[in-house]
Amino acid sequence: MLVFAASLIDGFGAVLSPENLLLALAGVTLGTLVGVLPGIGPALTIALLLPLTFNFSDPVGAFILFAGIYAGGMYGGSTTSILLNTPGESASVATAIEGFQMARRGRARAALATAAIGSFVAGTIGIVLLTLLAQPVADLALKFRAEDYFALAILAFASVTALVGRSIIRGWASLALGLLIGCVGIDQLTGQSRLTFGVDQLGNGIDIVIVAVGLFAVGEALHMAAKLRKGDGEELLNPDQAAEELDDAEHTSPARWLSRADARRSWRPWVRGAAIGFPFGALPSGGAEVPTFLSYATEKRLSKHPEEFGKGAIEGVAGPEAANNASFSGTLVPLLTLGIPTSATAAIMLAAFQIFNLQPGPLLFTNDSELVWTLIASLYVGNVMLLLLNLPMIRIWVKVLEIPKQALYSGILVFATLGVYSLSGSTVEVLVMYAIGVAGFFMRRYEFPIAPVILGVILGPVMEIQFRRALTASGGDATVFIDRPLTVGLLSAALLALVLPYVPSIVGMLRGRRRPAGRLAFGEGD
Amino acid sequence: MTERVSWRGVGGTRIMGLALLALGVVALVATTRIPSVRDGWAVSGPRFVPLVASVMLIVLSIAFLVRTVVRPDIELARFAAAEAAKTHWPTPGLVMAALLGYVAVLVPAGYALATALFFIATARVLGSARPLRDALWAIVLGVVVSYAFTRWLGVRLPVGPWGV
Repeated sequence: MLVFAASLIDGFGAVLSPENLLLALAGVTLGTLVGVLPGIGPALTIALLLPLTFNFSDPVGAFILFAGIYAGGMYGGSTTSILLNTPGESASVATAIEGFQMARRGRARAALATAAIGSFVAGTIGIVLLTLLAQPVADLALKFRAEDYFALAILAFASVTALVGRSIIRGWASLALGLLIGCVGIDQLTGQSRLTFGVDQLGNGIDIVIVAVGLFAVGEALHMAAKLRKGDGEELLNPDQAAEELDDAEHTSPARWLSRADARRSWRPWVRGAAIGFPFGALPSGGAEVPTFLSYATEKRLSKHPEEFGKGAIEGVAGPEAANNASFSGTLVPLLTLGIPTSATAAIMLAAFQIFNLQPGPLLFTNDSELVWTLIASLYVGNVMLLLLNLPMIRIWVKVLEIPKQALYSGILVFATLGVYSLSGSTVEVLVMYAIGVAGFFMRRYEFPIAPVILGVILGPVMEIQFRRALTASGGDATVFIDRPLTVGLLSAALLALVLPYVPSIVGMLRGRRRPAGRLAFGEGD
Repeated sequence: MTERVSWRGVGGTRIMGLALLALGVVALVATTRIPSVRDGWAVSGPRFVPLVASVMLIVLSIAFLVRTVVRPDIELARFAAAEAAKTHWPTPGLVMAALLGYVAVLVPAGYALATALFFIATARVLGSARPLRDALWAIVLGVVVSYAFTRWLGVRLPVGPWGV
């Protein structure tokens, strides 16, 4: 344990050089700028800037930049959620519910502050947990065999489809779609081309960046564009003016960030949000969608002011934002120790690792421990920078939101195209990305969750390779999946994740209620 | 919510279900075409996972279609109907056409010009009433991005006949 504290301090030592601080600043600023644009999240930003890393001789600088972009992107996402009610990614949907209502009541600054400070608090808790957990999990990971990796992927699929969205059918259909996209390309074990329909460029498979950009950027741009002409107008709230129009004596000062009462109401949700977010990030559940909604539901239930929910309760911003940030620290556990990315951003970070010939996994902590701890420290520094620099500059970021929608969506499509073209250098991939964007457009219209697709594309190939390796190693004996307690444990957890949403209705039926309570679900429609 | 509006939502969900079903069938057919002499349909062969995924998609899309007839998901139908009511269909269609045109001229016309043209066209399709401002932004975007990405990031973008 002490060793890790020392390693973390060394990490800070590496980050706190003028050059690296400048990179962190550049990352945070760039990330916020891009993050406030609806439809462009941290995943696309990092994907766009991935080519930049080719010019870095030292991976440390690149990762500091990425960590800054990530933190800035998340912060930017919460800004749009609060001021514009347009969350850039599914992870900020929960924040928008209360955040936008707070902004309407002239409390935008308090909402932005509780979001930013909450992210910082949760980031801190997350990093402490990561520090504590990383080595034990890496040690455990050394014992992982192919069948355990397979079971882990199954657990991820079960938890994401069971928890995200309102319908199990649509969740699993989304996952099936993701698995099929993940199958495209040359089979890694036999070299046969699969589902490429004779297109050579598909031989290398469909990159996760292409899928993420298509689903998030193009899908969202088309979705918003379709409604633009019929005036589905959003109101942009000015954080300063709105307060003056309010006659509520308590909140008349426009410069008010976080009052003492706000802080008192916020700190418990921050801690609870972090406690919810971290394990969901660590257990692959496809990003921050589930923990943010779970945190929202928890705060709503525990609040002493339940009547304020829906009208701008600060707890409803503090909790989900903390959960969002902590879940990213959680995501780093499987990414760094097992080499398994569990969200689109993590998958792109994995690609960045591979550019520098680094293979995340149990050995990363021994072989490249300096880099790992620098990355962790830079996440922390990014958070502090956001708090110190971006919060006071909120007025500038709000200006970005004043870009006319027509130009904004055109620009997003330009950048989406640029990102994919610069990655692949071919127009075929760009067309594939557009096709995926059209799919994303229709998925949004019929409430098909996006997260399972992303997870299917990322983890589908991992699951398949490990499954086939396990079977080949055991000579085709399927009992290999139930031989060891570790595998059985992971598979039972997957089963549990599938059953869990039905527990309330089963309990209801056992108690003899006539109408079952329905299933637990978190998602856009919740 | 009137019967008619709900019905519109249900109609759309059926088309969505059919599209998914078609996708599943296409994937299944493509799976049977995967050359696999050694492993055939073996569980550890290259055909197994695509087979599972495409069958899964087919079964689920049929289940989804059945749900539009038996015990229709009213909430989903309402959501879809509300979306449909707000939608101006020519817009996404024209945006897609603009995107396809963008890709078509990207290589022959060069990145900067193609991007500027696409930006102007899309802003217009989306209802922008200020063509002059759009054109200015479009040119700045095209030239700055192509310069920044080729010079600083070392990304190769199509240059077209005039070098940008």
